[in-house]
Amino acid sequence: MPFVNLESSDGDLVKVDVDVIKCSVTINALIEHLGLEDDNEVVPLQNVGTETLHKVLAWAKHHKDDLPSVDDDEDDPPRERRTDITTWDANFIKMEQIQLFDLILAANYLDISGLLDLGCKIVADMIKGKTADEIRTMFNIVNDLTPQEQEQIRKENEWCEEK
Amino acid sequence: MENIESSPVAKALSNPLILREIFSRVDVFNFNDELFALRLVCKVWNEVFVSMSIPKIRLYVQPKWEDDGICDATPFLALCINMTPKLARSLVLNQAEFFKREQTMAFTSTMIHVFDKFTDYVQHLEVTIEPSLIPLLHQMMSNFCPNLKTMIFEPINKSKAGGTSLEEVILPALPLTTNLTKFSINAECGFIPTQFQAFAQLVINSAPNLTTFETVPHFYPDFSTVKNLKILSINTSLKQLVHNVSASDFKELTRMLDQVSGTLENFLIDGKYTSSWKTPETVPTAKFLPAAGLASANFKMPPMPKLTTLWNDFTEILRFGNALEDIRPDKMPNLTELSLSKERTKSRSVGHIIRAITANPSCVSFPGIKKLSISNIHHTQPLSGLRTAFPALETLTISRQLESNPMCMLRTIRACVPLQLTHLHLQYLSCPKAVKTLWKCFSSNLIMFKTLKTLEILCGYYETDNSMEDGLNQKDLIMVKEVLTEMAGMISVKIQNVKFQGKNGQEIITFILKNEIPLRFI
Repeated sequence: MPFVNLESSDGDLVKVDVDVIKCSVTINALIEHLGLEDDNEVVPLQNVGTETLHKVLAWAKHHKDDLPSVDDDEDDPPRERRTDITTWDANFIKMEQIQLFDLILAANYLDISGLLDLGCKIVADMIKGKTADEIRTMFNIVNDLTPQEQEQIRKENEWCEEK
Repeated sequence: MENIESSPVAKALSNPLILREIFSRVDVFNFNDELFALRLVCKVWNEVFVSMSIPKIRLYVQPKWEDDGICDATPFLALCINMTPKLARSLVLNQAEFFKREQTMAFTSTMIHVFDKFTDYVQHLEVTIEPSLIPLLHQMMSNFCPNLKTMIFEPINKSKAGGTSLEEVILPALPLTTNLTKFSINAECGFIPTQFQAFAQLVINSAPNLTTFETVPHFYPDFSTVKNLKILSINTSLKQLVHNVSASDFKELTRMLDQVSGTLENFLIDGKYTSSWKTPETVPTAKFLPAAGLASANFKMPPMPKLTTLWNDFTEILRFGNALEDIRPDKMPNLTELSLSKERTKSRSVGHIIRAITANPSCVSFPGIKKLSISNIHHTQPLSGLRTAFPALETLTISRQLESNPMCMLRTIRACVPLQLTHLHLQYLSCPKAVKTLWKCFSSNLIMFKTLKTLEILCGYYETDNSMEDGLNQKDLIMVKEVLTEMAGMISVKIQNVKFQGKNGQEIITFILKNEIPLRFI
């Protein structure tokens, strides 16, 4: 079964090489779970729009030959997390904020760790050095913390330090 | 979050899984306030931040210094009334500033209170105390901390006498702490007094599932109750290693290694000069030679069937045989990563070992080793024989630090070309005076880019070391572009402090971006 048809939430079908999309744990599981055996069968992806799906596939195609990532042991953080973003990835991820978060949601839903890592690095960079007010403004988030809760967090801050 | 809950931004930034991924990538080097900015954004962010499985923050359990110089436990105790309990997962108890009687009382009252109130939450504990508080710490650990996973323990040494003046207190065994898997002993001065040793041994005895242990010289505990120690490291400087060393020290080290030899996967003897980049210490020959003699007579590396990684920064003391006979494949069949260095600037031990191996590879060969790191070697000549001695070698790191007459970068590159490596990292060798010279060296050795996937060239410690002339003409630019084209298929190339300047720089950066060459100047 060299190809699989992916159906976006917009109802569009996209035919893709199984080898390209093997990075998605979700799609692999769906193929296995649905018992798909021939090239004409369809894998429904209810949470991924057509435009985002094409972006995901472009990323997956470029990273087709990457070595599989090793899962971090939660209790054993790696001494140095890879912080480099390749030139290709840097160009790929240049997009509007809404598209970026669509891509992150898709990477999370499809369980593509490399793509999720890339998107989250970009958001982490956007956050870095900003105050809570600036972060809220940037992402249109409403502050639902009470003044008392904010005061408690500030107090706790006096006794805490980054690890 | 705002009403626009259907927007992808709102959806993603209220998803705990995604937020955790993002937060784990926010590294803050300058201001603690940045991390707390994340908590102050909204309720969901605050909840996710404090719930992260690897806490990003540590809570300092200590009194507050008031303006009049008095330390007061009350503000901390008041904080605990409404404190988010998850903050107590990672605690720091540091007595360093609280020595006087009233200060110690204030410090201990915060300590007792936090353990009493948040006992079930404590997972990570860093303790720096003086001997008088050991009984109290023992009491805390006897009654609390059922979920303790990692512990760092550091003595405050008021006496340099190795603990002989300390009051001896016999402490009973601690209850089992089955979740404790990592235990580290730090001591900046290089030794820990006997009373601390006794307590540390009790912690080890109570932790049968310990997998990682870090220690300092002269404290090699009994591991007979530990079933599966996987990582063992000894952190020290050369001066500390040889200070008052005796035959029994090396015998004890051998005994400890024997106990864990069946399970150990990583054994790291970290030197402060090599691994922590501290200034090398001068150790007089009169102290060094007896220590080396004692090690030679009393230390023996036992076979370790599961060992995969071995770092030895003290090859001038702990040699593993003249040509590493003690770690050959029949004794360490799974060894894949080896790092060799030396801490004494006068020593040539690393070069001697490499020469001994490469001179007669038919005697000793290491077919399993894929990753080799050599620090503080002085000559490139033995490098040419590495491929025969290490037939599976993929990654080679060569580093020189504050040694006099650093090894020449260009000569090292040329020596490494025949090795057909996949990854080559050259750090702080003697760099050429002109940028062009380095690139000409690449150009003359293009064949190395056929196999290389990553290349790292680090020059100089500081930006001020970047005094290289650019001096490229049009012909040179063509040559540089040819080299860059060869780099196009690699995963990553990092070059530090060797930068092109002015118009040449712009042209080359444009070429790199246009052709997606994975080169980064740092």
